[in-house]
Amino acid sequence: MTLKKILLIEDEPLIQTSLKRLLEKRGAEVYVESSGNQAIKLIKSSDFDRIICDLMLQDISGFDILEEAKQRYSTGEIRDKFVIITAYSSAQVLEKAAGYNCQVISKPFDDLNRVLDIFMQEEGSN
Amino acid sequence: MSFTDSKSDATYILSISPTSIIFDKVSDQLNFKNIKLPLTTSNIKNLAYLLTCNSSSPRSTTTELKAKYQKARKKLIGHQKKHLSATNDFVEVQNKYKAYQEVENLYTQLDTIKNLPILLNNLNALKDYNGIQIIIHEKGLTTARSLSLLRENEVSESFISVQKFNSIFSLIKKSKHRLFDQSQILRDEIGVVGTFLAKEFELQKHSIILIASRNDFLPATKEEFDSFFSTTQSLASVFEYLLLRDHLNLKNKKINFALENFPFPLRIEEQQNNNILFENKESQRLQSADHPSLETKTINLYNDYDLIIENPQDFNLNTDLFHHQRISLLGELLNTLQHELSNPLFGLKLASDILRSEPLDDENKDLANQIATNVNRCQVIIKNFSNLYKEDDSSENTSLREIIDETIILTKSESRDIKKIVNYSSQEVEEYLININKTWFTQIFFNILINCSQAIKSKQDVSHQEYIKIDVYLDNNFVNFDVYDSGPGVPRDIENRLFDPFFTTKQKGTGLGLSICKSLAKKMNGDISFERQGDISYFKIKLPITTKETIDHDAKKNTIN
Repeated sequence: MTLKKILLIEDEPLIQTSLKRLLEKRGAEVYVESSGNQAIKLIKSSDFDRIICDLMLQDISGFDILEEAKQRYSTGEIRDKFVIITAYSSAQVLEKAAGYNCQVISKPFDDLNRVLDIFMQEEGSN
Repeated sequence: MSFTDSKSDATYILSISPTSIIFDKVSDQLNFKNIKLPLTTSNIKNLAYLLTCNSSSPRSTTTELKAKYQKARKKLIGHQKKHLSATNDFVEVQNKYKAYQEVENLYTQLDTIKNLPILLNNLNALKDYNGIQIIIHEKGLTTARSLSLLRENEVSESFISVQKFNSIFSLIKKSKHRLFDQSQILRDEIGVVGTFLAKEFELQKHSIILIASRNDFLPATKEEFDSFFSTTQSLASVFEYLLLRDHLNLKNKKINFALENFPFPLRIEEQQNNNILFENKESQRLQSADHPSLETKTINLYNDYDLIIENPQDFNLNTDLFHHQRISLLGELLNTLQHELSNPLFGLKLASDILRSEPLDDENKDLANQIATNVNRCQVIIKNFSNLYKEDDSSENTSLREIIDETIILTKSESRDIKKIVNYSSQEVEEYLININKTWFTQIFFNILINCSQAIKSKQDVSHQEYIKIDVYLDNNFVNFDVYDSGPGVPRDIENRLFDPFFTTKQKGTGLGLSICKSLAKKMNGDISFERQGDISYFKIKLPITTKETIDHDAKKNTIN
């Protein structure tokens, strides 16, 4: 397996640390970011194979990040690259997320291993 | 205290400061908000004032209405004089006078607004028109009510949107000759055919469109035209009176309902001869139960009337009615708590999972396991409690066992030491998937189980063999839950009132629990009832079966692809 470069945007410290460690165990190279605005800068300046993005951040929402990402990526790339994680999976949120066609996973995860599988999936294989 | 129409106009609010009782006009239901009612003398006087204003009580002709009537009548006579002096033709004067008299008779003839087109059709000036339509819009409502005379004495009722109403209204208002045919207003909302005359009215609380047609295509003659307008002009004050009366009647009906069900015994008597003018349910119940030497407190009202309050000590106790308020606050609190706690809890869970996968010595491994178990417990509790207060009307599939177990966990603190026995009639029933609004279901069960537990604890000699037993079985297209407990049972004299709002036997109860359960069960097209068979009694919850599927574990995964 090639070394996967993952950006994890999540502002809950313990979730951030734990997911980072779990993904690293699976052999990924993980970058973490708590601030949405900082994350946008990173997305614009570096290449990631996968971007895991929380919806509720302190500064901006995950949807703002997705919007900004459009400047760099096509809608198809956004669909394959991004995975949304959220604690607020209300109907409105799901509907809005469906507009980007990317995967949405609600927190807390029911099946951790399965979710890690999704994070580690090859782009476009789902 | 005041009785006001709220801004939206879809509700009436009865405020007995600081309490509000809200009547939902649309669903015809009562809601109680901010229930905390110190029953001071002045509040009771206010209540009694409402009672005496009530049209269904013997003192029915309210002064307010009378004044309105007088005013409307005066206006009518004014119209009359103006028109009489403007004309010299004696016959015309006589005809017009007749027409006015007819209109004036409307004040007393009309029983319900719905019959208005029939009465209008009886007027001399309108009797040749077999198509009469009246569209009434009460300001603030989103629909207007349309009443069309179909055949003699038959009125069809429909509703049109306020936008359509307004466009027709302004079209008529702008028109000079008020004569239309359907090439000008070709709308489904107009229930007449051919040419028609139309007039619009702008009243205090309503806008009205009156349409008259002979259902043919001949334009109206000048005489018809004149007679139509001279009569309809005087109709405005009649409409005003009738609609306001209707409005007030409806209000009174609602007030009456509230007072009937008011949790304290109230009675109004005439001073002179002790005739009872009004007595609410609670008062009647106390009377019929023949309570020995019921103490009463009398408050003098408006010279002629006495308000009798039975058992005034109960009043003074009055009153922890804060309960309801506390509950709704609790709901909000739990929601916030859930959102604030679930993220850090999830972090803890992930971290404990990592710890558990590390090579640890037995002691530490055990600790890590315990952390994980407890985090899970916290997550489950938070989730279940927030389900209890979640406001939604969506339904989901859940197995009977799962939802009953969840609810039992919630009642743990109240039902400690009480054995819970759930008997499913078969394995199949236990695994049965029911499509249900979990929040509502949990609320009903939560209430019943708490009631059972409290009843058991109220016994003198609580033993170690106390139990709550739930029999679950299918029956026609319903799933039945029969709930028994080892408590003292429901006294016969109160069993008919268990589901009445405000009825309670608990010192600190609101009396709303079971009545809320009932309305929730009804919302789910089911029912809840109290059943008695000989010495055995139980609560029966009956809910319709909406789906039957095998349990699909994949459907419960949280991942959405």
